[in-house]
Amino acid sequence: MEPILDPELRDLEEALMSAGREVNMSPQLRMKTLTALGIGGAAAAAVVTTKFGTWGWWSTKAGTAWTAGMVGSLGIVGAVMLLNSNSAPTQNTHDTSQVTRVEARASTSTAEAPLPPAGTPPVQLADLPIEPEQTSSSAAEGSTQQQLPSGGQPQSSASRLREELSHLSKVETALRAGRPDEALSLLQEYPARFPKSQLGLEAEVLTIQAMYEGGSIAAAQTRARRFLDRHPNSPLGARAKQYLRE
Amino acid sequence: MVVVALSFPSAHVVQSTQGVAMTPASDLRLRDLVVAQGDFVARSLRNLGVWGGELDDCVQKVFLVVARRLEDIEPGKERAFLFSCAQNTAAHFRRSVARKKEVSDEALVHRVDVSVQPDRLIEQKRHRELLDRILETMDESVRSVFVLHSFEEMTMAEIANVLDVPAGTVASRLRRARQIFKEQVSSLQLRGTEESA
Repeated sequence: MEPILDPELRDLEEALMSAGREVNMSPQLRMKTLTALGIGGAAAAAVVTTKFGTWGWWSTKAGTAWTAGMVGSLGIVGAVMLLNSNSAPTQNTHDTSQVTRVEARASTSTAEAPLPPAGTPPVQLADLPIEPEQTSSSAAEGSTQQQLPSGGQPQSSASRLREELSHLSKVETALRAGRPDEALSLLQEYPARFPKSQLGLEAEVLTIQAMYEGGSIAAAQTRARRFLDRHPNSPLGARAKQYLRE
Repeated sequence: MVVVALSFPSAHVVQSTQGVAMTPASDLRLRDLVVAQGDFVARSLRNLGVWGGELDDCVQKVFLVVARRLEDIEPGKERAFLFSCAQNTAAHFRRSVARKKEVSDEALVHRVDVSVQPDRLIEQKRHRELLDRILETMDESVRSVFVLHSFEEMTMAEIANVLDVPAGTVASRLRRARQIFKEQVSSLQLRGTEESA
């Protein structure tokens, strides 16, 4: 762009121009907006921008069918990407710091499910955690357990959310690979690892899916009905509902 | 910015929160707009005078309008539509702020994002406030041209397309905007020199 001001004022001009450009839509707001529009977190993965260099590698692979399949079936990965893009040194819009739901539309692929790997411990359905009354961060306010990383320092909300997303993406990977037992095992760890869960509803729907795909149809359906009763307006309801079909 | 759009099959028709039936195609188009143009909308709103916690709400308002009017938006005219929505939303915001007559100091603090480092924050805050003051001295029509040219780096032809005005009008508004900007920055610089002396 051509200079607007005299040379002696150029520094101030540049600084003001930079201030005008240093605004971006925060990843949290993007996810909230997508959810508000009823198109959920998977949408975040539908279009991958490579504005931030960190994710440049993704664009080189994005054209491949592999990436399309991964991104399409794993909205969570997109959400993780967007969270990470937050590290770009630009001014994001007001940090809402609360992402309550990520709608990740899991693949409904009916690929033949291989047997679980030998090392996967069997999970008893009775051991699976039941969805708490409230799954937002407020649900665990009474809990004395603090989420501390190995260094003992309190984690930021974004960092916790990133870990949660990472954990749930492992669950989804196991489900897509036809390993519901492994998915259930990971989901069993979830409430203890993330007592102040921000993605509890997502975890609950994944639990329903894992139970269903693991052959516990009746238990999955009971759980799905309870989910729909408790969260009739959840954008994740459609996913829960599909397990009620006989 | 490179944008890679991937298409996914979606067998269902979803009902958005606004009661608009979304087909898979419109669903995908809307997603693309939010992801690819979200920064543009947020930045435009901010530079058109929206600040604080309202910025998030205004961004969402713009996209809710887009969701309702998606079928009316001609392909290739998306940015024009988004900017027009942003202008209207920002104008509404400014009117509501003006009705409140005075802005509290507490609210002013929130004009700048607080998630950055303190030293950077101070500098950013100062520059952002100076820029806001300058932009507020411009008429809306002049300001829009200036915002699109200076912060979105659009050419005059692109601005003419977005604002649906003749290129000559864009050129004259831009000249006027530059003149105002120059005068205001000179004035700020002068004031700063006097204060430090």
